[in-house]
Amino acid sequence: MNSLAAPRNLVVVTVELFGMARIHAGASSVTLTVDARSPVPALVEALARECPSLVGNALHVAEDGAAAVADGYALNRNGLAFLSPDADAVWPWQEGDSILLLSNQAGG
Amino acid sequence: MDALYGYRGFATVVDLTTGEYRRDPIPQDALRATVGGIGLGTWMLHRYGSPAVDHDGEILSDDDRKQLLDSALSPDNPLIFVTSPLVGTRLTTSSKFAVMTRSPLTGFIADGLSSSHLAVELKRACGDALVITGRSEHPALLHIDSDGVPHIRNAGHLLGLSTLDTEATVKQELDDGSRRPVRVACIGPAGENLVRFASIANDGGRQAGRCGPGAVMGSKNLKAIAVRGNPDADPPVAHPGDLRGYARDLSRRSLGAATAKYRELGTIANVSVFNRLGTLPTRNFQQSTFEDAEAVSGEALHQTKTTRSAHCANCTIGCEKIVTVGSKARGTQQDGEVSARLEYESLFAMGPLVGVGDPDAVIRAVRRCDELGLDTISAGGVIAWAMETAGRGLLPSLHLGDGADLAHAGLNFGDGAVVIQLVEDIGYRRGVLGNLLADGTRLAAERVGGGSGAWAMQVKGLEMPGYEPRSLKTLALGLATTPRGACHNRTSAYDADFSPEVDRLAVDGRRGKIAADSEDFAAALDSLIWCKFLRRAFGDFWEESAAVYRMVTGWEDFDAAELRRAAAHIADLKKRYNQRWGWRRSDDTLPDRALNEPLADGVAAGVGLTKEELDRMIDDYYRARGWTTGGRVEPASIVL
Repeated sequence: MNSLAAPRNLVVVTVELFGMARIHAGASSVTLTVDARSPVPALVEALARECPSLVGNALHVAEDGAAAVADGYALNRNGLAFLSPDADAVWPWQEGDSILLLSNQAGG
Repeated sequence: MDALYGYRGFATVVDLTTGEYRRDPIPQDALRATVGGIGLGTWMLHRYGSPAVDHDGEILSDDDRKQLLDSALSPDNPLIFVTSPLVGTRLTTSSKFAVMTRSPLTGFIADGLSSSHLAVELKRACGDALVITGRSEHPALLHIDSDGVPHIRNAGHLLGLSTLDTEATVKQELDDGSRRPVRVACIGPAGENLVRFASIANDGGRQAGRCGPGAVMGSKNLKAIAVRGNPDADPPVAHPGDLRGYARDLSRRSLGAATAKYRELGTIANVSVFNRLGTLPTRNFQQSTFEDAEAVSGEALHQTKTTRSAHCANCTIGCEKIVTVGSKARGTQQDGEVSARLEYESLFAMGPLVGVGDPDAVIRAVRRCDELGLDTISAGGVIAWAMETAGRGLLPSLHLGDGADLAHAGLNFGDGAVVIQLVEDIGYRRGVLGNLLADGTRLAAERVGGGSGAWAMQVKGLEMPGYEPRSLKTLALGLATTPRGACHNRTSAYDADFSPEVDRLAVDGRRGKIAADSEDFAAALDSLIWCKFLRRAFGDFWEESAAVYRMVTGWEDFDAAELRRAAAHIADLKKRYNQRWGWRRSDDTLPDRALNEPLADGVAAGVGLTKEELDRMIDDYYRARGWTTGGRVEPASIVL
């Protein structure tokens, strides 16, 4: 086994951006490399580091560095399950997962 | 009689046949039990809408039901504009009114909402409601000025004008040099031609759109209503100081994250999200994703088109996005500059639903619907049905090929020019096809036959909105059971589906309660009347709304529990109204396609919804409502 290979618990996920998050970021998606067992807040922290233009609108970062999606936003995994935005649960992210950052207001 | 706060305590009733009018007092217990808006309007429909008619429990033949449907266009069917206790308070989003009648599209309750300055003037000039009955012998403009006396004027010169031109003309004609213009509600050519899904427009293009109130107005020979009330007629509120403080706080909250989507991109932001979630109905619900969704997405329109926001009166949110396409340098209908008030449902209906991915064509079609006075959702729905039906080779049997119909030789999904032409033909009932489609999807499918009812995407005759029910199971139940027909706004059940609360792709035993609760929530919003886009700005909605109601009315013992009871009672009132007009258990269902075809594409490919699953949810819903197993509300439980 090659000892220089990436640790097995790192996976690449794509964060798809919708609504004003897409406008603020100037991109429709962002790629992140995260630990497969990262809790949701840790994933959001990684997104804030990768895409700082989202901080202050779609993402909220506290003084201690803790990040969360802002009020009015929601997270969804692979277009299927909606995630509780402040959940501390550990998700076994899979390589190639898509995390959707979107408005939590569905009306229209 | 106790002093009355928040309400005027009466309705102005105008008989267009005789030209007479009167003011009917509204009992305080009825106001309190039904709140206002759609709740009070439903109570008034029972009171003024052929109260002797009651087909509850009768086994009606299809012919009998068709006669009941057509009788919605008779002079007996009242058209009622209803305000609310919050109108005139300047609370954000509260300048709204309900339009109530019996629908010529469904035969059941039609409860529309619209907003802006007209709401304020209606309350000043007419009281808590304006009830219009009968039929004028000539095209009429109903003018009610600050003395509250209705005048029925000849409106022959307005016939044929678009909604926007009608409003502008009436305002100009009734300009008295004061700084306060009359406010106008009117129909366009579609209402004049009794298109069953014609809308009523007001305040520069806002619409009471669904279920065909514009056709009812047209059947009364009533082209427009113009009102200008006396500001001194605003009823006092019981606790003005408390209300001012609350209003400031609510306005501040209305500018926060809870309404960000609506303020920034507007509801058109739904397109890209719904596409990704496999819930964007496309090509008459044959697909749940659209390959050109990005081209017509809110994000793309924001970045590539000229857009600006518009507000209703007394609204801090400004959800409306007015999108402009075309060039001032060119002036033709095909490429000249055009602006349209664009929101998700109109965009969906003139875009993905009919397979059109050209944003310019979508915006031109939406604009034309607004000018003609057509409900965009139903127009898109019936056009999508026609396109699929033509593709299956069923429409040529109608001998479409006279001059007017040759343009439809190629009725293909995705052809924006054909969509615009069909909108035009429907609005004027022009040609065989335009006349057929003007009666809506259900009747059109019955006439064409050939099994085309299976892909007629309607519930109770009302065309489906832009939410795919197979991938939104709670909403599927709401769409099936809501008295209005396939309407997302009277159920709000989609909120659960777009949250971690439920698995939106699966059915479980909780949905009946969730759907009933969300319908009650919508009933409270629609009766107070708050804008739905404000709903997440409240802390505890029920406690807060009850507190506001106390500040306005002074009924100090009105609490959140009473507001909840009122909301549930409104659901009972609506159901009882439909029962009187021949509702039967089989009316609470979804189209065959939704129950027999799994989704073909998107993240939910392969997911379906069976009739057995839907029926289980419906049984749960009836139980949650306390109705009989057959879905009836017992008349004895209704207070009228």
